[in-house]
Amino acid sequence: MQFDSLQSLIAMNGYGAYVWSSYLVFLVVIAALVLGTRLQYRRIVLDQQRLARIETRKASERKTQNESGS
Amino acid sequence: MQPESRTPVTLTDAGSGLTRAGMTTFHRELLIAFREKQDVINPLVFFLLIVSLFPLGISPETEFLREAGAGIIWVAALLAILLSLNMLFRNDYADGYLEQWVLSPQPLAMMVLVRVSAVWVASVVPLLLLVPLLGLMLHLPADRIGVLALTLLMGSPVLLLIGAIGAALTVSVRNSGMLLALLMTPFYVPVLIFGTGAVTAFGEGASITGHLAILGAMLVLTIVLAPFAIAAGLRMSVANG
Amino acid sequence: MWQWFHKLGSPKWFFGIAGRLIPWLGFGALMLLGVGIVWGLLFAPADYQQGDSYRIIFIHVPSAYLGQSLYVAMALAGAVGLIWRMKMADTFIAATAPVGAALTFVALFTGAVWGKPTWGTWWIWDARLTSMLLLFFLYLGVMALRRALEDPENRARASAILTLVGVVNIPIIKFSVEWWNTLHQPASIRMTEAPAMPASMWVPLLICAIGFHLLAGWLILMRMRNEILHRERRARWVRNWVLSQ
Repeated sequence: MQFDSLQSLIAMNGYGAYVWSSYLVFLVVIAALVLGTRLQYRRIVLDQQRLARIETRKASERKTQNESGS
Repeated sequence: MQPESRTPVTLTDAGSGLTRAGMTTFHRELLIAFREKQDVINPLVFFLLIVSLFPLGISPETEFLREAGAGIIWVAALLAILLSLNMLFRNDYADGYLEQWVLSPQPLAMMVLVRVSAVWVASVVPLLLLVPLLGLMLHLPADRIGVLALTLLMGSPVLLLIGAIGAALTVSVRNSGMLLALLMTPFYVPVLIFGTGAVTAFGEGASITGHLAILGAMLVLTIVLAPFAIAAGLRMSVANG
Repeated sequence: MWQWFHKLGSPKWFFGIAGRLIPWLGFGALMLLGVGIVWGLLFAPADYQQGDSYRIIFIHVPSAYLGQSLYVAMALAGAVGLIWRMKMADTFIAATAPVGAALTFVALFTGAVWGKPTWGTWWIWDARLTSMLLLFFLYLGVMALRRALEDPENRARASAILTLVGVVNIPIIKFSVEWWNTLHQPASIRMTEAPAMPASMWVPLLICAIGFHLLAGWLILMRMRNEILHRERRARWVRNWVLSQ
């Protein structure tokens, strides 16, 4: 281990701010991408599920209409 | 090395028919381009305005203007050309003329080249004519103005042709000005670099043949290849827009 | 081989395969990045000239490399889509553009931050950073163009044309920006002038690089599955799948 304490690991011999901000930005960007992908998935799937429900409801309405009409 | 194996050129040869069609189209396009006075004047005024902003916004000192002048004029010309991209295909797309173009028997790439050439003559050449005046306003020495004009002469068709690719891809998009600027910037940067680089090198007494060679190569490459990309873009926009 | 190529064009087949690969890619990325980053941050020796600031390299170099290669991949997909009219090619471009843009942004940010202790300024117009900035614009351009075009066919062909023209431009940009930079920088300041990296440095770098590739693959496959679910929403297999979620 190049650093003998947590203090020195964070400080990185004076370069701490640069190194850690870089890694942090990397993590944030990846997290944003993952989050965005999950949200995209949810939106697509939920939308389709909702539409499927509406369609089955319409289909059953039409069915009962046909049965009672004729 | 056997002349007999070459097909004889006759008057009905596709080559001469194409050239004649090209010339007539060019003539017509030129008339159309010049008829819309706005399309000729607007880029010109914009050019002048942008160049004027720099001394006002930064510094009117001769030292600064002499050093930055070529870059300022190049950037302003670039922006003016960017602005004029809209007029390339927009009107014809709106009234359906573009569809006829795409369906016509003449090769689309050639007609595109003719159209862009006509717009270049009508809208960009006036900018070039303004360069000496602007150069004077920015205290550029006469010989450097000459080199500047030469680089712009060689570079502006490249900008217009590449810009036309973007214009063809976005012809069905409303308010595409900002989008075009974003799309075109990475492509314009190399031309800008060598255009201004030539003038700077000249100012320092260095040789500019390298820069001009590269600009020339860009010009030739673009003239040969861009029309096909533009045609592909137009075909696509017309079919699905 | 040709059969595989054709299968690639089937959304349903791809959806299935991608679904099986994704957990492995994610796990692999996590492992490799975990090992590589910890090694690079904690165990690799400090650089003789740059001290500990060079540790940014483990993030900067892989993301810069991927930023470039993902754009080339998009252009290849564009070509495949234009030539063979494969829908999946456009699905790839749709999924990859944001990932490539994000990685290029990371490369830009880490490159700039690395520059501060090395050269004293937050931003420097050197050849690499400037080329990277223009690459970022190229990505933004693809994304903005896709958002502006509504027709899927239009969007696919336009993206393909744009990425193809863009990929031709990338070497031209690098060449011209490098040349431009030598004019304005008396001393050539080159960021990755690592003459000979000791194994204790390039091994973690390599591990991180592979990890980044797996990470990108993980993200792209996930996004491609989303795209497929959206595009093929009228297909029976999609409906059944969605309802089973």
